[in-house]
Amino acid sequence: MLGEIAKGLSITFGNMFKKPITIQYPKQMRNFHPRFRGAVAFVRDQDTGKERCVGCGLCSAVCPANCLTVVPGVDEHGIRNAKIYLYDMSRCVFCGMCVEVCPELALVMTHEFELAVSDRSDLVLDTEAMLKLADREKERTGQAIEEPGFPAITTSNGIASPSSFAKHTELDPRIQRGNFQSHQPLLGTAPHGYPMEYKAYLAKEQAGKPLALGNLPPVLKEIQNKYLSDDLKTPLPKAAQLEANEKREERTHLLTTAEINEPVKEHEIVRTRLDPAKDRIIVEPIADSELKRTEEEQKS
Amino acid sequence: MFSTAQLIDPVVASQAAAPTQAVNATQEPIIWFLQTLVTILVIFVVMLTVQAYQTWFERKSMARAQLRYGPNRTGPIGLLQPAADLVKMLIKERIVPREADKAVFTLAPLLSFVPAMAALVLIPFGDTRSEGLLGGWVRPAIADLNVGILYILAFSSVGVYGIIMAGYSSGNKYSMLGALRSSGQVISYELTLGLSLMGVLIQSGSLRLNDIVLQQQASVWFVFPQAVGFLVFMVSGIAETNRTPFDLPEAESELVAGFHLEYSGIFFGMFYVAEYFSMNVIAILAAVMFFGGWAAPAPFLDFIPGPFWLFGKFALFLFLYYWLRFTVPRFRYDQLMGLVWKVMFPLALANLVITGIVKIIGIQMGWWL
Repeated sequence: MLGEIAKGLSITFGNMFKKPITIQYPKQMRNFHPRFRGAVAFVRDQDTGKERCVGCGLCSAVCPANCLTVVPGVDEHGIRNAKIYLYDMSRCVFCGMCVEVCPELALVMTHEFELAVSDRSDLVLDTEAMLKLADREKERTGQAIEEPGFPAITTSNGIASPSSFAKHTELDPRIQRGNFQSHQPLLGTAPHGYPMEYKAYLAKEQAGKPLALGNLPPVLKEIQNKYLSDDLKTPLPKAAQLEANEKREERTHLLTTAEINEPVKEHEIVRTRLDPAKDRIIVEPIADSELKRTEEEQKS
Repeated sequence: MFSTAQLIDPVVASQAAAPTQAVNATQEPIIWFLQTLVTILVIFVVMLTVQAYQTWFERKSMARAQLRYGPNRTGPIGLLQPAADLVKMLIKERIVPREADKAVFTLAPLLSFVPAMAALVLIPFGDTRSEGLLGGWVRPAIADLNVGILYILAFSSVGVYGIIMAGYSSGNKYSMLGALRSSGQVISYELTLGLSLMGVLIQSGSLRLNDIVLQQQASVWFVFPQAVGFLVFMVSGIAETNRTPFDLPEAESELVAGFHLEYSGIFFGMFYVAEYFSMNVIAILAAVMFFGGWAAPAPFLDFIPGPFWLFGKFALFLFLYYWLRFTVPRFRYDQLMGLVWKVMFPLALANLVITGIVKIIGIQMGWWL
């Protein structure tokens, strides 16, 4: 026993003269493994500088944590894109399946892992935020993520090739069986929300109801509404609406809800004068021609 | 064959004369009293500071032995950590559990803390016959009793009552188990602790700590003739102060925290300080009894003052304590009891008997021991 204790004592004494192996985290940072799975970001396309997403919604379909909302759309050049793309990081499990499944190689996993925020809604990212994430990664590592950075789908020479990843049907055994019963319809226009049978989904689609307006959590609904035209907006429950309005009033104090919705108003230029007969102030608009004339006078 | 007068060593007999101090207690009682107060203040402030920084040193050295950094956030290399700990202990709430016996619960930390402090009274930091610093205002020891070692052993065993009371009054099964373990452990190791010192006492012929130091200065450190006694003393001392590898009363991995589980704030702090103080007393005692206390190892080193020697030796023993703590895992309770009754007790007894026999033979043969 004494010999063993002596051996132990010599080891601990020797250790005291070695350098500690602790990594002083906020000051020092461990090197990332190349396939570290952090937050998901959009690749910036080299040609257009925009995201490469075409709004197919496969990512949303494959997402096990149900954190992606995709509403497909078309941009001003007639190119398909995601009209709404919401990435709810608070639900994300960082499995990387969305990246794996993306046929356009638009998604990458960054090395972003310090995701703490003080407001939960800050964890919901839209397209711009996801593009910025990739930019930040570029700044940090000095490497552009213009090619998808997920080596799982890159070939041996490091170049991504769309043909090298599995077909969708191979990925999900539920699809092969033909009785797909998820709330995640396959067709890309993913209604984000609670379980819905495929039949119900089809019925909704045939009725022409916008699918993305499914049972979104309130936070997402609010964000989604920002992107939609008035007739497509999801009516918030009364209580939630009241709460939202109250919050806005709290924040701005002076502006009403209506004013916030229309922050920039047409301002009419008026002239006031005293009506001597009736002893009151008259407010009357100035004619456009008169305004132009005064402007020209000022210029000259 | 021989008379009892022969048993008292001539060297001791000459040195045990009354201390030649500047102020006499009987002639100038008020000045003597004030001087004692100042001495108490100085010694306790110094020892409390040492205690604060020994926790820092312990954590730092333990961290380095485990390839960590240890405290390094408070001040340069964590030097303000003791202050931060103190503030934390003071401002934390003192929770008294509903099931607790409140009077006993409050008394227990005091009863653990005070004896640990009181044992320091007798420690000679220098030659107690000398005047001390500042013309006698800071004396080398607070008191210099002729039964010094008895007093220290008595107070170090009173400390266990605090632990037993804490465990009993907490109203918690883990605390109770810790207290029971502690009582069994301390009673067993008390025996070997006392017996291991008997050899030294036989050899020196005095219970006064200063005389024991003077004996060693005149002859040789008692660690050489009393090596077995020293070994038994160190093991018993670690067990007596409930330090790893004998920290069964606390045993955080089985009893959560044992007897002080229900304590928080400064009550817990008092247990903590008490543990370190009794550890310090044992470490100083080891230095005094076996390593010549304040005396320099050789006469030509006498220019270095006594307190430095004592603190140097004390620091080495403290480091030994820490070193064992972060190396040796905790004993099982049966191993602990087996060690004391089957190994330590016979060793101490044999040491006592052999020392006695050699002493008597030595006196008969005219050896000097």
